[in-house]
Amino acid sequence: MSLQILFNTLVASAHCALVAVGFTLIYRSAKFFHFAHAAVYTVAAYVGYVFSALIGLNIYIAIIAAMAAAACLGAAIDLWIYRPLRSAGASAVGLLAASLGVLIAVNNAVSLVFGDDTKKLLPPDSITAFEVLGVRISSTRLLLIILTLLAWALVYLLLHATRIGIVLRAVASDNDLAITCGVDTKMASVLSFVLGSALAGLAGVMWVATTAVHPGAGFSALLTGVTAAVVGGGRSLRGAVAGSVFVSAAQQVASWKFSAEWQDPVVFGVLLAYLIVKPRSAELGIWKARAI
Amino acid sequence: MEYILRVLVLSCVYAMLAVSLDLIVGYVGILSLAQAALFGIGAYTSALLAIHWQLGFLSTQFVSIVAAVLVSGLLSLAAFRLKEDYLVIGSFGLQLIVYSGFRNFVWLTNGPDGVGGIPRPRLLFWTIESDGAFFALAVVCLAVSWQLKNMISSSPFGRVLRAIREDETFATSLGKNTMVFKCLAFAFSAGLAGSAGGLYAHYARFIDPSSFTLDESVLLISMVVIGGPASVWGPVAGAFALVAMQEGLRFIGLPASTSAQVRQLLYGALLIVIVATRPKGLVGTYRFGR
Repeated sequence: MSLQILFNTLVASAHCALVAVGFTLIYRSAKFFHFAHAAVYTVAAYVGYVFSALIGLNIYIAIIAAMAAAACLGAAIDLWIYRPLRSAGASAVGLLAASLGVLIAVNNAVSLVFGDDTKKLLPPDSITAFEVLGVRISSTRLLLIILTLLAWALVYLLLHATRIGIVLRAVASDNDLAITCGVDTKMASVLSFVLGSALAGLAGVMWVATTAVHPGAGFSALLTGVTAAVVGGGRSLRGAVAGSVFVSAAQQVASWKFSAEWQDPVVFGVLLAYLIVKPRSAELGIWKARAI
Repeated sequence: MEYILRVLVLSCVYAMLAVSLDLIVGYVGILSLAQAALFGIGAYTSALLAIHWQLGFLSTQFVSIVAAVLVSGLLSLAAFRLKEDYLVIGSFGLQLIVYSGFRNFVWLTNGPDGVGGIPRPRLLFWTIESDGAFFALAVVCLAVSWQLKNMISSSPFGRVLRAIREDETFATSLGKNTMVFKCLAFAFSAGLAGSAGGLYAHYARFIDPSSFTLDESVLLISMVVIGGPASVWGPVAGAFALVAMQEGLRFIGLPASTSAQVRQLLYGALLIVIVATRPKGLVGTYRFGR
């Protein structure tokens, strides 16, 4: 029983970390809360559904298509909505309001096209599962964990071993200084949207592969992702991952000790409690980091 | 006629909520995503008191307002430590906790099935039965909220709120304890939202958690931003315009299954367009989010 909970926590935190890392990446370069991240997740999940369940393509092709669609949507939102707003002088609050508008509009567009019922990518009997030490492990959940680790390694390499990474970290640590040093911050912003949205897309398509999605799924994923990012300090990607593990563990324990309905209240309780008791002096959360 | 009165009463309730939210969005310059939750607290408090203890309208209003103010205190606690950005996240958390509370405390709120059989409001010795009389009551409530909000915003207190919106550090340097001002603004706003909730519960006579969702909070933000934040008539105009738009969609023959989605899609799109092209809103003067 307890090993199963451990595995479930691992799956949930992998999913949550993908959303939280993408969200943090975008927050650090765009400097406002991009709530439309949830819309990107939902669209990616439905793109995966169309490619795999409707057209009948291989699941790996569906995953790549979904991530590409997510990256394009993220870049489009940044280029066509946030950038004009920014050049018109919009502040973080204005951009936040616009991102809420994008979220509501896209989510409802998805629900108009596909309906409100839940969609599954694979029929349940086609998912193979095996047991190790009494833990039921389905192939799609294992794939989710492997792909998350892979994505995390790639993002880490990208940030710390390439020129793009230097640009992104520079913008994250000090926007004005980056401009002074001749960094193209607009390009950096688009890059962070592409990268962050692709991660959200991976989370979305893997969630539709492991369980099911409905148009509101992106939003629930964002809630836990944002909570994880905030509890993890809201600044570093490692913090976001640590926060994801913490939040997912709290969720799994809550649904084990009480019942599944208490998962969400526990997450938001953690969030609000953290925001209220957060030590004022420490700007960061449970993880200290200078840039990302 | 009955239909028109229904739309008008709903417009009044939404206008009260938009007016209450404007104190935060327009004057403190922070987006709060918890307004629907405070509305729900007011509605559930009034409904339960009226059903179980047969309290009259004035006493349920009083308790609803107090309850909403107390719940908003949680947000004020967070405000002591957070900058604007994170305060939005705090209000977001509060909204979701309260919403899950409505769904999960089944012994109190009857969970997702909702609370029914809420009596019509009783004002001293007079029970308001007809829709026309209820509309009059709604107009009076809206007028009181509107007047209170205008008194608050044009008072020295409101001036400090505007100063905080423009430059919090500067307001602090003038010796203003900005935290106290922010918390009071939250409390006033929550009280007005709680009062609107009480009115709504007595009117609808059946409430369930679906009326107090995060989507509803975003809708209220759209009303304020579209109408014109920090203005006398803006929030009222925004609320009436969006309710009218919603009812107008009924008449162009959209099937019922898609009308909710189309409506929300339009709110979202309109919110982006207004922030991008007309930050003053329909009738406002303050440029929101600039």
